[in-house]
Amino acid sequence: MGAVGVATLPVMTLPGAARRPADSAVAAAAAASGAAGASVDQLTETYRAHYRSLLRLAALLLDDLSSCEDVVQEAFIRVHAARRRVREPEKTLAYLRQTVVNLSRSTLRRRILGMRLLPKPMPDMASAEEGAYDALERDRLRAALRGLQRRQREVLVLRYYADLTEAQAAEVLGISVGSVKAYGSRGLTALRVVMDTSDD
Amino acid sequence: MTDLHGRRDGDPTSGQPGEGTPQERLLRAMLHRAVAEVEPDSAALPRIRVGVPRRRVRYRNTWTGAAAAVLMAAAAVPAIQGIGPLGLSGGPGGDAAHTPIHPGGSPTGPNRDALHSAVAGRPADSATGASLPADPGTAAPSPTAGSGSASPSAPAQTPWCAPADLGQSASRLETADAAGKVYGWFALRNTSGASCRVPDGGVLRVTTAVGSEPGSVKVLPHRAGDAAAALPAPPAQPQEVLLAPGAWYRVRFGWVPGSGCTTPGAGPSSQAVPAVRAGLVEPATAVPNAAEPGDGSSPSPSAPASPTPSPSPSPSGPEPVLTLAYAPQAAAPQVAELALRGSCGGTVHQSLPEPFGTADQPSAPAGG
Repeated sequence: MGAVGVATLPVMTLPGAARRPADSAVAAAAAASGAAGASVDQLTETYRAHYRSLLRLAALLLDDLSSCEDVVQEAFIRVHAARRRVREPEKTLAYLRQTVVNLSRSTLRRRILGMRLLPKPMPDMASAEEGAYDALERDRLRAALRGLQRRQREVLVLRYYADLTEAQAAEVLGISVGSVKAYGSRGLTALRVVMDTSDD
Repeated sequence: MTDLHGRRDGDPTSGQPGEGTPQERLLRAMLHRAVAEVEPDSAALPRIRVGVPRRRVRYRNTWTGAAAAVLMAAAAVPAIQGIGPLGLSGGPGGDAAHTPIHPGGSPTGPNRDALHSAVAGRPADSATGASLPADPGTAAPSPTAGSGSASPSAPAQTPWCAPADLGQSASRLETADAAGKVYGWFALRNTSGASCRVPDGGVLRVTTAVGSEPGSVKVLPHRAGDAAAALPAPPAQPQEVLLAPGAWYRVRFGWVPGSGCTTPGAGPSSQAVPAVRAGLVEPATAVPNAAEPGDGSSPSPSAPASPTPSPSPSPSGPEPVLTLAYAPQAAAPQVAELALRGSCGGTVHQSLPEPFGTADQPSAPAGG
């Protein structure tokens, strides 16, 4: 198989980047990370290319970091355990994103049912003036997002954080493009109201 | 920084990322800033690395356990009847084990509750793994009933079969008996990669009734002592049917024509000609076979009668035809259809779902 350190995952091994000309983003990310040696297995490649952005996506959908890690790791495990999914590398990100959204939803529901609503604070790295300013904005935005309906928040995060088109967001959420438009515009309005009221 | 009042100088919800109103651009920037400091846990990749093969093994075990339970159940009944054990050579391939996830990773799958346990490194059998009949020794039902693989121990954690999980419909219509009663069944297969429970409330409908008075055709649940005597008596306790991947279940019915029904033509044998219409979702191409529960390659027993020729010329007007259709749930699309020719008013008696395709042969007389 020729990959380094992937003896347990023979199926995911890719002999070389040439097999995946379509997924230039992955290849570029792997190369940019400086660790793309002779061959990197597909799981590692996908992890390097997408884990961080998916974790941040989950962080906007959920609110405590430990749940986000759980959700994204579970999504990776599910998608990569289904061999059919990883046979089409160009679709892997879409599968991962959809699984993250679904798991975030069920995790949120479970937490609500379990009355564990106290959000763990994000790791605080703000000490400088600039950082404190950012932290304030961050906290207010996240609080405002939490105040939105779940669908509205999902649409806004997918559209404006993950930069999906309306059609892509509709596919991830399993709703129509029209619904994406409606949730998006209502979500923007609601977010504006919430941010304005907290602005005083 | 919090001014989200952007001028809407374009389509505010245009599909192009990176564009949009100032409000949208601002939101985009704020969202990115809000999570810019979120960094992956360094243990994430090792956890995933360990988790993936473990999950694959679990899927495989789940599938194998369920298949073993079906085979044990299948072997139990023939053993009583002095029939040899089943050949295993036609066993299903391993593809089901490779595709256990529903599209989209929807949390309705069997791994719904495995999120934390899998991540935490525990074998996630507490919620779902153990709920499946992983041990054939304990999962084999008591070999007393014909419907051997009914699983009274079907765990509540196993999800209901979604309409999309069920496919490959098969159906059969027997020849009418002397009283004009016609028995038949609809069967469906679990085409998903995971075990599921057959939902209650499968619906038999009369979709067309040519030549019948409106309201003269009824569909009733089968009860002991009703006119559809050849149907098995309903169980005293409602039984859940657990379908392993590739397993079948069926719903039997009996058609009892009404007393005032005058049929065209002559003998009862020509009154009900099975005319299996192609299933609306998938054609009824295969019927489960005891020897090959995962393959279903045996030929369909129901004569695919040509729909055009009428068995007996109608004296006047169109020949009466009743079309029955089955849907696994009230809201689900119907998956199979059968035409009862020469039938008008009467009653359809519908049995409860039962496991099918192991050792359970149709009890109705062969024919059709």
